[in-house]
Amino acid sequence: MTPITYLIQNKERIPINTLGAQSSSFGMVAPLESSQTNIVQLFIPDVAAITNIRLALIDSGGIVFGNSTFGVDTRGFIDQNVIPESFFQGVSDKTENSPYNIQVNNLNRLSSVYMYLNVNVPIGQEFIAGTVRYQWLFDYA
Amino acid sequence: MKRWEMKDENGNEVTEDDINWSLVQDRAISLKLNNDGQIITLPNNMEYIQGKTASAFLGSEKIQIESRFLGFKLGKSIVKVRVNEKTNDISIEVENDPNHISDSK
Repeated sequence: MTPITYLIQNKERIPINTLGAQSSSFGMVAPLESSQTNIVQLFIPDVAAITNIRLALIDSGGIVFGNSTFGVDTRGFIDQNVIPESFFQGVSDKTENSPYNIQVNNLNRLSSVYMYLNVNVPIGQEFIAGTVRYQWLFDYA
Repeated sequence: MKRWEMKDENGNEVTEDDINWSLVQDRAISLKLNNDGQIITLPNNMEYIQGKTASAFLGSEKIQIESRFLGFKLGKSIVKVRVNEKTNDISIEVENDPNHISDSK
């Protein structure tokens, strides 16, 4: 089974794996500024179905976690203008039972809906590009 | 060896190594989880489910199995027995069946 995370750019789905990125890159962001919003989608091509999809923030990339720092929103459609108004409430311990995992609906049998992610860098914090990391969790049969 | 094992109404025994679950799930009259020799057996003649919970880092092409579960539908609920892949801890979960159709009118 090969999970694919698509990064949506200009309404095109680009497998993030092909970008050589092990983490989601938001570029350089100055204190008190918000990063660009990355739109991502999980796709599992070779199973009967996936259910119970969750997304977790597992590494805050050197930023001290704040409850309005890591934006996350969900849509069933692509809109490059969406800016997340919800936020991760904590950094997950990478377990399936973490209370900080975000529940994600299916768009179809094998795909999640679109997840909108950004980072709001607090004052005085240094943001190191490419170090924020997320994890998918899902059930399959 | 970790795998589900089932028996159908004709007495045929098949396992995860033999066939895709979706092709046999409607014929199962018994279902077990073989967890490295530890056998977890569900009651016979139920409507069964089974699956795995996996994780994948965003951007990675690899998955890791976190746990395996099997279960059955019971009224408005689904009863699941889950085995943690690393620790072998067993837990029982009862959740609402999202596909249950109420009898009341």
